[in-house]
Amino acid sequence: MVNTGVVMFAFNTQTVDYVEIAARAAKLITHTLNLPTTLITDIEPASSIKSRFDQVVISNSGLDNRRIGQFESGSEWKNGNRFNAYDLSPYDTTILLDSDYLMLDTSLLTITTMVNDYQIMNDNRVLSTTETQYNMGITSLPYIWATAVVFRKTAKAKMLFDLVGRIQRNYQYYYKLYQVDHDNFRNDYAFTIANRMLNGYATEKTCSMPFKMLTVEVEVESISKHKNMLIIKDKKTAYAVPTQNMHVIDKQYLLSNDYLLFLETLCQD
Amino acid sequence: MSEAEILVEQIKLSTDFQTNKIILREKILTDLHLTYNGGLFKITPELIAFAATWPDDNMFLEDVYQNPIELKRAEFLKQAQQHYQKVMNTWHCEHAELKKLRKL
Repeated sequence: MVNTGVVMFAFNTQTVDYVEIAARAAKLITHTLNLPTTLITDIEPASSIKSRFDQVVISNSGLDNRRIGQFESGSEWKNGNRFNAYDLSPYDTTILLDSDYLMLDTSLLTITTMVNDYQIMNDNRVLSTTETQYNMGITSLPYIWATAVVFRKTAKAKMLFDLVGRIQRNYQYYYKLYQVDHDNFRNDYAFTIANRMLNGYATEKTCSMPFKMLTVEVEVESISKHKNMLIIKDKKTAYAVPTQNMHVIDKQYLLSNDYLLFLETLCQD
Repeated sequence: MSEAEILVEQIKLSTDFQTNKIILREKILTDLHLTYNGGLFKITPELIAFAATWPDDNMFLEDVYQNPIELKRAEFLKQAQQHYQKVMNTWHCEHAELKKLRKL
């Protein structure tokens, strides 16, 4: 019997309680997929947090980084160490997720039944734009999304994570080689470069998930359920989307009481 | 609540049908995937028509990961038709629901 579970990395910073966000995500994962969850964090969490995961693994964050972008630009960002997921995961088949990825459907469960070494989110739909391809730099390559990675413990998957580690350690070289716009380390870029190297420097889609990720990049005021749809409101407008997995960038919303209430309502269904 | 506040609330409830429609379609394309004998297939009208007209009981089809998968044609066809019907029915219902929502 193959042992399948979900692993999330969460390292608290001075401005964001990522461990709490991961604990909330774990509740949704248990409700939607009924899979065990493992948290990888750098400081022993309180017992009230520990009880919300099946396992907690202590490991250092590996990197001091700063955010660039719409949310919390310039703030602390502990996004290193993801390459250790292969060694730290207690599962034969692992769904490796960002803590801000909301598990609202079972599509990733389907992916875990496939025999591929690893699969990464290739396409992304940002809620408020029609753009679906993103490059690492103006003259660089399109990138894939390390937000959700499904992998099995195989030699090729191990090589992927080893390569991501090498890229993280030598990022100042790789970001120049690939003409990446910014020199702050980003897992999406490291996985893109590693995936490309591993597949003969070709754009290889057999390691890609066959569907798109939905990213909510707006400042969220509320999310509510309306029949089988989700109504996502920001300051200007509302979006009606089918109930599906979502990558929500707004961390303050994920820590809000409104989100907690939404989560509790969902998990009661 | 003042008239201005009511108007603000109503504007916040407005939504863009075209954006919602695109996102719904992409979710439906995700849902159209079906696993069979270790393979993953995106069920399309072309795939159903091909499986329906193939003359042998056993066949091989390429899945989305570029693997040749052995199929029992009648069994696969039945599953594919049922899956397609279910997902398209959901699409129709949710599309109708979207149209009822306030537009920008």
